[in-house]
Amino acid sequence: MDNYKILFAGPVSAGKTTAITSVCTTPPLTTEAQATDISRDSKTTTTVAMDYGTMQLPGIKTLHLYGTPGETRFDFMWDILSKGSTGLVLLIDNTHPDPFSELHFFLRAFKKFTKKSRIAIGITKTDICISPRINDYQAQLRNVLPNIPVFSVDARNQIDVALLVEALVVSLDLELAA
Amino acid sequence: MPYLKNLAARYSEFYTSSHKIKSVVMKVQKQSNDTPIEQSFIATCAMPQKTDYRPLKVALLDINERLENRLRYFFSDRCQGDYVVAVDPQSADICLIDLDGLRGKSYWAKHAERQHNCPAILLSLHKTEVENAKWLQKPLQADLLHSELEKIREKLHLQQRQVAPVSLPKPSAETELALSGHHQELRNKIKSLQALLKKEKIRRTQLSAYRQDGQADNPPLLSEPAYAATKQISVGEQETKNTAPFIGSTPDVDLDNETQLAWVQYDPKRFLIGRVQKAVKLAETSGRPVSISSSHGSITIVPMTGEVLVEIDGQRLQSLASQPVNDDEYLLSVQDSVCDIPGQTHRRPVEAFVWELTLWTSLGRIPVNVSPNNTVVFKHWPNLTRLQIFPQATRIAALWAKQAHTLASTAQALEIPQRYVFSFFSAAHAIGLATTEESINEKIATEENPIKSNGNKTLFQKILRQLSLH
Repeated sequence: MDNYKILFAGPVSAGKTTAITSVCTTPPLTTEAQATDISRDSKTTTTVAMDYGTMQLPGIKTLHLYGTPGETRFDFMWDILSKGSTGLVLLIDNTHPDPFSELHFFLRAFKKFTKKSRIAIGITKTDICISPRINDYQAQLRNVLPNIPVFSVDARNQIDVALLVEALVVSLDLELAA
Repeated sequence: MPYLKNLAARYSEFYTSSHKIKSVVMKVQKQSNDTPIEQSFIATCAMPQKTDYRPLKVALLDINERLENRLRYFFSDRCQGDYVVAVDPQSADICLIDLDGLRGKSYWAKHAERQHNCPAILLSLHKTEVENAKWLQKPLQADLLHSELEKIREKLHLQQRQVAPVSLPKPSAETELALSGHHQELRNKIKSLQALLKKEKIRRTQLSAYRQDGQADNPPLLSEPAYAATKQISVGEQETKNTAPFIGSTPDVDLDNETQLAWVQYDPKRFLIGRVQKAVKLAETSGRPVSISSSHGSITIVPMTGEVLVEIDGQRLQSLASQPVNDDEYLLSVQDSVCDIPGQTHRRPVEAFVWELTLWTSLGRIPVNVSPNNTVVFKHWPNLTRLQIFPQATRIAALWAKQAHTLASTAQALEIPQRYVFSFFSAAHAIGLATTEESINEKIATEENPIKSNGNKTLFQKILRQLSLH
């Protein structure tokens, strides 16, 4: 396969737009608008439709990265953007009061990807809140989605995000790297 | 094997003394321009210069374990390695005797009789009048002890200075001939030291370049697997150069051949990583900080925060990691509280520390008790963004997450050198994420399954998988 469509999903403020911006080879397309509801507490702007950017891989591959809005009132966009996607990068904000409930909520919402283990999970803001730890997330996923990549990710860090995307892509298609 | 042992000993000797080589070479070079090497070399040895200090051996006689641990730490930390605990009291430069101990007084009596040239420091709770020795009251004051030790060091150097010139033979025709040979020998020595320095410089430059690469604007995208080793020679060469500190350069071996298998095996218990793993276990079970003390500095495991406090700098640690250790080289001790932990340290998560130390130790090998023909049991993906990453790591993890494989079949399936797989396994094994077990059906492990991107499996394979898991 020459092209991959990768979806970035997760709750508000998890760092989806930042993560896409970090790894895109060209300036990404974003649909940021001033936050007017609950998300205003955590940031000034929020994604209202989608983010889009591309990431060139050595060789022949191009990754098309799509960011979904985090707010549930825009969840209709989740289904629209999911169509044709090969994998999902799920970002969870570790500073959330109950990050596990967020994790399970989004796993249910993107059930299509969980069925074939086409997911990589990035836990963001672990520098602000160290708990729960990655092992705790792995324990949560043990019976639901065993053996998927779960990494601590700083969405501003190109290497962190690139490594998470790489883990997803390599999981999807081991031949890619061969 | 004697050759290998000899080589290992030389390698170890080189690294332990590498920090001294430069100063010695520079000194000898400089002096060779001004004065004859022999004379200046001998004169330099006799001078009480700080750079020429060798660690003085201190015999601890009737000192209890607790105090001994503190003294070991004191010697390495406060005294910066100027003093070490003598293994053999007969070869000690200084004696430290606890007179309150059961045999303390008899030790002192024997010492006073026999070893007049070995200064002694006596410790006791109550004031004791002694001749030819220094007395210090317990509990021991670090400043006082340090000052006494330094006084003794000065005294010993003065004695050396007085003795050294007398021992110089008068040059005669014969001795001059011998000196000229000696001169040449020294020059050769300098040359070989310079060559060693050059090699070490190159190695360190490569290492720092690799480290910088990891944080520069060139992300480890696809860990370079997409343009993997065997396909592009230039990239392959670069990869080998950059990853050698972590995966070594061991060539592939026939894993069914026991002799060849031994080449790619190592015993973690014989290395620093073995001590660290023991300390981590001890810290977890006791719930208290555990310190590993050595003359190089201390490593303290703090179970409450999941961190390691490391006093030894990275490059030194890397060289120590690959050297076999002696039984008494690293001393484990449970600390009473966090207050006991020294301040000048680097903090690192335990997992990242153990992972990296294992890579430096393993260098593309597997632990000795692991059979490469057994199926790998992979608990889950490591948190790779917070660990030392190297090429092929994501591919290996992805393969093990999907299919049961042996170490041998992993390298074959991914078409990569065995050392990548062995390094990854060793590191994952050290942090408890991978192990091997006798598979019920070794077919799964040894079968060279073509890698399917869609992950479809036949019913038969699914049944076999179920059987192997339950």
